[in-house]
Amino acid sequence: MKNMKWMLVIVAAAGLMALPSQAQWQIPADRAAKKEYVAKLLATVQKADAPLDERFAACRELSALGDKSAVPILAALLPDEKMSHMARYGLEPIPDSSVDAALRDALGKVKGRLLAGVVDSIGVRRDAKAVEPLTNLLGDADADVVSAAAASLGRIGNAAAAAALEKALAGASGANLNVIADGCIRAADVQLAQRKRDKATALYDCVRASKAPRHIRMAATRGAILARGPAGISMLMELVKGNDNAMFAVAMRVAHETRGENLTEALAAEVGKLAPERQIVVLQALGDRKDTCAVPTVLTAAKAGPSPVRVAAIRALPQIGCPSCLASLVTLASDADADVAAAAQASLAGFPGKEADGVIANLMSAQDAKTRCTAIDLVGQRRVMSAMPALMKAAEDADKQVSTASFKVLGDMAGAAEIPAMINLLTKTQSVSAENALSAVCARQAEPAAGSIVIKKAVYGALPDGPSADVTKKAAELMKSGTMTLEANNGNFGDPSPKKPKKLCVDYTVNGVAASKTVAEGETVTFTTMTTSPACVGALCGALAQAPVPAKLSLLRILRSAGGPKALAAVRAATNDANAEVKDTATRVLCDWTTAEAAGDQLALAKTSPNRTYKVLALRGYIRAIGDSNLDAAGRQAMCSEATALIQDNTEKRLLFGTLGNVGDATSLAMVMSNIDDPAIKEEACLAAVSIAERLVTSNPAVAAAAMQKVVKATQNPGILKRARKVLGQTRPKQAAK
Amino acid sequence: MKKSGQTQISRRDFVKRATLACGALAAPQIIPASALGRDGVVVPSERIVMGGIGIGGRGTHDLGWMIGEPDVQFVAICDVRKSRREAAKNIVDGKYGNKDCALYGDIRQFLAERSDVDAVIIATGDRWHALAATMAMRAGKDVYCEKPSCLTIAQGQMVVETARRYSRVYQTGAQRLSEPNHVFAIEMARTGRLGKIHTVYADIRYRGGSRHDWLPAEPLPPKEELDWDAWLGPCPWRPYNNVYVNHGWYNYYDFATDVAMWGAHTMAQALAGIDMTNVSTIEFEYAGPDATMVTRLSNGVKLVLVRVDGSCWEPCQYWHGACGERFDGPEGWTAAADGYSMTDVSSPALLREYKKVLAEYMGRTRRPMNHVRDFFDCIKSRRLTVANPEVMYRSMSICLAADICDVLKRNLKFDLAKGEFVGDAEANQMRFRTRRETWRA
Repeated sequence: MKNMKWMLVIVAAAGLMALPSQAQWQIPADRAAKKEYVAKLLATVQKADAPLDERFAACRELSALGDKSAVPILAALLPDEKMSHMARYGLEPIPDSSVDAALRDALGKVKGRLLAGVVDSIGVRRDAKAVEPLTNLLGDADADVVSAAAASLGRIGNAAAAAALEKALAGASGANLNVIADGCIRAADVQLAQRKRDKATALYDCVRASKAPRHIRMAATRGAILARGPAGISMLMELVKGNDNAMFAVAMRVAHETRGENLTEALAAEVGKLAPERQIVVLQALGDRKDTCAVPTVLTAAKAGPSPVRVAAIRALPQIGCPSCLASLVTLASDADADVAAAAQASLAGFPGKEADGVIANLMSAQDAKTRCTAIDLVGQRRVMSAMPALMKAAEDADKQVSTASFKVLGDMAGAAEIPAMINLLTKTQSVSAENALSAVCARQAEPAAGSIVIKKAVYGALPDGPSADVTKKAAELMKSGTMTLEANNGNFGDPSPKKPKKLCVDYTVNGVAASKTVAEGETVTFTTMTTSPACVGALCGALAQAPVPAKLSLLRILRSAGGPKALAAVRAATNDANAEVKDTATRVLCDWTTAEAAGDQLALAKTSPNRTYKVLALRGYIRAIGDSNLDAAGRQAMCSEATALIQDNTEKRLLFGTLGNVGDATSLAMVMSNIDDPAIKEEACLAAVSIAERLVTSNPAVAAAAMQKVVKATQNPGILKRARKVLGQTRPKQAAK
Repeated sequence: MKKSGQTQISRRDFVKRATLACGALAAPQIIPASALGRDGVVVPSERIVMGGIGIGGRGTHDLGWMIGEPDVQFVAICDVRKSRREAAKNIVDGKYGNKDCALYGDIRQFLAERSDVDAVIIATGDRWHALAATMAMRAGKDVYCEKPSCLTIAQGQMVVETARRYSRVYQTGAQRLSEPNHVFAIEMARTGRLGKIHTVYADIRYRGGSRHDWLPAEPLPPKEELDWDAWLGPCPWRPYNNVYVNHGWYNYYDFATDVAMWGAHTMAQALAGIDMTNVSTIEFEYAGPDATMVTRLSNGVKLVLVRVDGSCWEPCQYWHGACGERFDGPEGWTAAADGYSMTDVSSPALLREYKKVLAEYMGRTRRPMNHVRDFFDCIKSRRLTVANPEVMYRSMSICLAADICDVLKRNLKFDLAKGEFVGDAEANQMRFRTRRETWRA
């Protein structure tokens, strides 16, 4: 399609333009070419023996290009059964008064369906000079023509059109009544838009008093309220108080589309007197209107009455957003009615402004434990950072639920500054909640963020010795745009060394810590280096020595979340602790270390530990560490070989496939493929192979294709099969575009 | 983008909470829906009586979604294709355990006869969306209309005017406006947490093309099987070919749009994150066929309509799913697309406010995280839906203006309030498509 469009541009430029029977828009950019093109289009339109699709296509092009010159030719086709619509299609948008004259002239030449079409076009163009002939058509025997005439007069909507419609409405019946009433409303809308309120009001009222169906009278009622301006409020309120639900609905719709405290006050004054089902709708409207003058009324409704009404009132309060109602919401948050309490809590969670933060934080010192729990949850939802000291205090609450809730929120909200205090809490409480919370906070200290990554130097080319380019500036720009990954490709960095395999080498810092990565062309650098916070690790290590055993076990596990060499050293040291529990936990943490920093320890344990469990855990950890994005290809391959030699069970083999599926290269692919005939692990091998091939397909299509041909034969999983075929498709040369 | 050690913010928890909150809203609001617009007996229950218009693939999805709402009852299906209306009837009858769902082949007959129907779901082909919605609203029905909800700028204006004139509740099917990940991305931008947004990206990668030619004529099926004239509706006549009715219509200008086809899936979200109240004009920069188009809003925001290589389902530099939007500000960026377990962000720290941001949104808007539920709630409260006619018109008119820019192959300036191009008569001529005689509103 893309090529086809370009082809058309080229053809047009060469002056070899074909008529648009076969393809797309062919509007020439050049003014002279355009004039010539329009002439060709008009010739085609006039040619009675030309194929209909060509004549239609010419009319379509004329709808965009047509000018005064097109009018007589297209107008001549208005009485033509086959061409009438497309003639209007070309004519209707042309911004020239001769079109109006032509359409008016055609009124006397066409009948029935075609006449309705012409009338419709006159309405679209809002031709005021056509009011008289259109008025005559309101009495036509063809209902379709009457309908079109009424709609067009309504669109024109001037005084004459309005008068004609008003007069016709008086005598209309059946289907004609509906369309003429609709025309009246349209005309009244035009009058109202021109600020002729009295005339508009009279027209709307005329329809309201007619025998038109109720939904049309509803439309007229809406208009009548709006046309009356401030005086319409009393009319609206009559509908609110009245028995007609449909008209009540109109009133509520208008209440949503207009602004002003007068109406808000009127609604607020009435709401308490209404039936509960109407109270709900009015309270919702008061919320949407956001006028603070409604607060006393809404609060009253929130405090007593049927539950659904109270809920509606409570939900309206944050919309209005007046802080004076916060105290009441706090009370309602522990209401005996569960729906009311839930609505109040949700309203507090979403209540705008800082004042709400303070009110909610104060709730944390409530007598009742349930309220304290609710307050803690709300503090967490609203992320009230000023409540941190109160959260610390609540973490030691005698009530277990309060303490647990507090730790949960601390884990979500606390930062580096809170770590020492949280270590104290862990030591004091020795609880799982405290460990989880501290672990979450420490893990968060290691997150790289786009803003904290600085590209120091980036080089792309046939590294290490071939031609290359310094792409530091480009890499920095990409990082500044927020990406956490850089793909090594010519699209990003140009091609400093054509037809040679290239690499991207990036030196960078994350939170000030230097790092470097090198990837091959087609591969991606992902900036996920786990940096450690010295303050965080220092605090944890410092506490380790003095902590009681249960807390010490927790701290060891948390050190894994914090990561880094210092944390690893502390864990390594603890594997020789005199206490058996400490030693066991430290060994397990070492086995489960998430980066390749501990790979040597894990490999040693996997090879030599006398403890069978440690051996298995260490091997699994070692296999997971193969996925560390900081490893280079050679390092990863070496680890892969070591792991393969130690694997004795399919469980570990599957784990290895999973890891390689995420990070593997061509060498890994070969290893994975060597397992493809083993029925027990065939599908896992196929899955890993497809994942690797998807990454390799650009840089090494031959290897990817060879592997995928085998996968297609081996797998019975439809999802894997689909992915493998897609990779194969990407390795085939692209066909020339038609 | 999830990083090791990232705090698990439970989306499931949030949705559960939101559902509970909405459960409160869904508590009885006893305006019998059938009394909200038409003559007819006021039923004692509060069910919303629904009809389906044009229930094909997407319509079946919507029907299944809506029919599960406890206060909704479908009573009729209208479709010009017998096979489709019968398939839809089977779904409805299967749900209610009866044979009561009525069938109609002609929308005019359906609207005229079924005064008991409160609201309709319109999931016809794109060519019918605006006209069917307008006809339904003029008949007093509230409307949920699939996207793209209009083929021309003029059609969009017609829908806005009709909904206003007839006090109707209207929702365009931009359901991502009611999904937490998109709402979070939008609210982060809208509330200034990313700083003053300077660039917004919207995915428009679908390439349907826009052919003008006719396929060879084939024998017309019996009218009872397929009413070809009604299928064409307001569009120019052409001879029947079964390719058109079996998804082929997507490729033809008379029945569809190009940029607007996929822009309808993303533009509403992209605009929701920026302050549009001070946007008077939009400048479109023509960049070549099927190329990413940069547009500049008069408030200084750059709105990029992304059209990079690859299908809309493949990852690109901005998304790893289809139908994405992204907001860039000096403090970071957020992005969401289909299939995300969590909104994409420039820094994991931004996600820590996930629950807070959504709670604030819920408090401010009272919207449920369920697009059809929002429609039904609004039928009862008579408030504007989250994807109301103005939202539809604003997003569609920008997409349609981009389509016109592509056709004319030159830069354009569009006045959003007036709905017209500045100083370009040809572009303005392309805001319309003249209706066929029989199919007017």
